[in-house]
Amino acid sequence: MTKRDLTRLVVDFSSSVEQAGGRCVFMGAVALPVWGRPRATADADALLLLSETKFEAFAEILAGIGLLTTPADLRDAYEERSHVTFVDQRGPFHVDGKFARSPAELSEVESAKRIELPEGTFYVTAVEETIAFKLSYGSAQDLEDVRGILAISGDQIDPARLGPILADLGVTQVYRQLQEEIARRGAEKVQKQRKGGE
Amino acid sequence: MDETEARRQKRLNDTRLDAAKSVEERFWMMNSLSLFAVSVREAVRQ
Repeated sequence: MTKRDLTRLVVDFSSSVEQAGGRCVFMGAVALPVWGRPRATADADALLLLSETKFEAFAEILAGIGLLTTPADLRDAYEERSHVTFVDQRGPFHVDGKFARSPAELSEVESAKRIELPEGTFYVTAVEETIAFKLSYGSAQDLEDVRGILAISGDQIDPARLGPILADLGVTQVYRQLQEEIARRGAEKVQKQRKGGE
Repeated sequence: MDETEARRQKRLNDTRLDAAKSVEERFWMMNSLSLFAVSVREAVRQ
């Protein structure tokens, strides 16, 4: 049997969540090719919106396509607001799921962008949420991801949408610093090019 | 569980799953990631 690649995993998982009556939005490295610079990953991070009453059915649907979890694991992740891993028996990638429960997470699901591939459709977080959540996680890799998003999709950001999300997550200042840093680097680059041309 | 603890546990779990992979599998995954990125960029452009 052919191994399941990342595209197939994302599409299969999305359609399973929908079959169970829920919604699923991919974030992190799966959203990066849409908004910024792609990077290596072994996991697909997903935000799930699914009623607790559907956990049994969802686990059964996933088992049918070789993705392993149990209703108990789903319940634990839901109640503890933690992550649940869906191990793929048919490929090397796995899905890391988290249930959308906070207002910010529910808004992430609401405003997601639909991606249509020949293999099927799936959703990724909007550019504003992708930036804000990455800044709130704050690792060196997350900041680098945001630099890439600003360079590639800066013109698609709606400042009126982004502002309140940054404020909610307490990262307005970090975002400003990053913008200043990018503007400073841009000015230095122009200066160097001018000097080189003289 | 707070967000920091949830993320720490997720990272530990990811590392454990990742450590079990062979070199060939890692190359296959890199190829799969590249194909995914290319087809997503193509879909976004259209």
